[in-house]
Amino acid sequence: MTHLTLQAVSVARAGRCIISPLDLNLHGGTMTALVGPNGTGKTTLLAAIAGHLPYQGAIQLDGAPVDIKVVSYLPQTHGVSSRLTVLEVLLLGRRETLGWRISDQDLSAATQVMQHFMISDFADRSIATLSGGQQQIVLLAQRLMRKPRVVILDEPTSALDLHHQLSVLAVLRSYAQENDAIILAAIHDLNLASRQCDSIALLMEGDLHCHGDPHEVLTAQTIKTVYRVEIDAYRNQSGHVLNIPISPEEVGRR
Amino acid sequence: MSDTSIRTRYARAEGRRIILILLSILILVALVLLDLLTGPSGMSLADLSQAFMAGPAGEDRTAATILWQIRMPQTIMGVIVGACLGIAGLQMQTILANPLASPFTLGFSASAGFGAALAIMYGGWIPLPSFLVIPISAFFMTLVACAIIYVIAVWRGATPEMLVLSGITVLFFFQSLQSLLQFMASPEVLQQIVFWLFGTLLKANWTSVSVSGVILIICLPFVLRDIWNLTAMRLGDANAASLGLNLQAMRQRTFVIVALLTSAAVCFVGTIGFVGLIAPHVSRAVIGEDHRYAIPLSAITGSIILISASVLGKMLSPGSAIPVGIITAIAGIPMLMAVILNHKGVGK
Repeated sequence: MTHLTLQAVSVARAGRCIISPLDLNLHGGTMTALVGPNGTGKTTLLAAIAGHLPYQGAIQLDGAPVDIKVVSYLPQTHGVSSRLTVLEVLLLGRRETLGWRISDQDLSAATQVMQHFMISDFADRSIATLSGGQQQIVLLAQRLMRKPRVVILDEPTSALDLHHQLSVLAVLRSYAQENDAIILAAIHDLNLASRQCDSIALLMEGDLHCHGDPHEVLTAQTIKTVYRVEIDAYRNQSGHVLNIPISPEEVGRR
Repeated sequence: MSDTSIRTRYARAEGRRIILILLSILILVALVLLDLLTGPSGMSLADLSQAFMAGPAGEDRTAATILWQIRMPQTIMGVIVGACLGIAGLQMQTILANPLASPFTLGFSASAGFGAALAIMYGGWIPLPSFLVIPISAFFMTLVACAIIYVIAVWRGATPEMLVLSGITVLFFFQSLQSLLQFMASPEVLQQIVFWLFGTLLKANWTSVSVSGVILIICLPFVLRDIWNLTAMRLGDANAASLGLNLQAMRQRTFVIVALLTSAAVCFVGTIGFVGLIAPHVSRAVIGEDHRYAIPLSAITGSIILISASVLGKMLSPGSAIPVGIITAIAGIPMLMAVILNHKGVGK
């Protein structure tokens, strides 16, 4: 099984410590939600793990330094104005190995990913003509093209409607399970995170406050401590989903 | 859509692109023939084909000289210069993520112009023929401009903003020096400088064809090596970087290639505007942003524009051809307007 280990990892930007030394262990076949209030260092931590920011400490994949070629990283997405078609955008996910002629394997991988994310109908359309949410799905799909062992996603569902939030995270989770991959995604929606992810890592002011099963981490007490919001946490009828309603009056007390 | 359907449609799209490139090559070949046929000597098609078949050492010395020593180098030079500017323009617009970027955005034309003006004014003492001194000086000065911007890019980061700002600084710097030389020049020398700045294929000969052609051939493998990286850059910096592309290194090496291609284009024939701005837009609009196809088509389109300008220049002024630089500058304005309006439309 794949193991991603962070040991005493800290990140500073412009001389200011954003992430205090933290330890985190993630296992293959699981999807972990990185949650926490705004400005708590989620994006910084993800970028550091993806090799896009310098850090102190050690990040290892199966006991060895991480080869960034096995890591796929999707930063927060903004509009893409390119005329490239969706199929071309997906193929770019294998940029390093593409030759002058697109191989059958590359085309197969692209069509497979399109089917998983249900975007086959867009194959010939220019990405610029898609909505923000559709673009986000295409870019997510692109990151799976080279079968990464580690997938780092920064708010991958921010532009998606409820249906697509659920379906996209379900596709990602099954990708992790089928490929023994590790997925770490910053997600703001705690309900969504607790429902679709195997574990939750909760950041608070640059520290890892706690990491574990959703129902262990997202307790009323933890939410109150980290978000300063009082909520009710309970299991619903299906037994495995944690629902966290936030009443307007509680939000008002912040 | 099924797997087979996607494959079929992709194969069809690829086939369509190849046909478009072949068509553009046919158009270019037709224009090249037309350019060879057009000129002040009024040679007929029969005379010209005879001269072609007889070769450079043909018995009819006048026809052989006109075809092999005057028209052919000029036409081939037009093809090479157009290709250089087309490729360099597409690369500039891609690495700067700016639809209005061109090979001259970073001040390469101004530096070449200053180099040429310097050689025209003070190059007399150099023990080389003047037809070599001027291009060598223009080429060298373009590389100086490139070196200045490169050092800034390495020092402060090769972001589009940094490249454009340092390019504009270099542009104004060399333009000022060029104006100073023009102010100091005698009327005869000033006329020579202004004529060089027009940009004309009349200066072309087999030496210029060989030098510019060799530079283009040397640059091509480096351009093709980064074809997928350039395509990825069309998705924007954040996406390209997250796909593992080293944007800083990519911009630096592309920038050096652009400098070489632009120098090769302008050092012998002078400044020819708009080709490097328009050709990439035409290419992307016709064939898309996959640089495997966009780069060849941009090169061919650049050549088509330049050879068309050459034919037009000779037809409009049969006695003395209007410099292609003037034709492209005039024709470039409506083209630029079309680009701006089309760009606005895309954003809607």
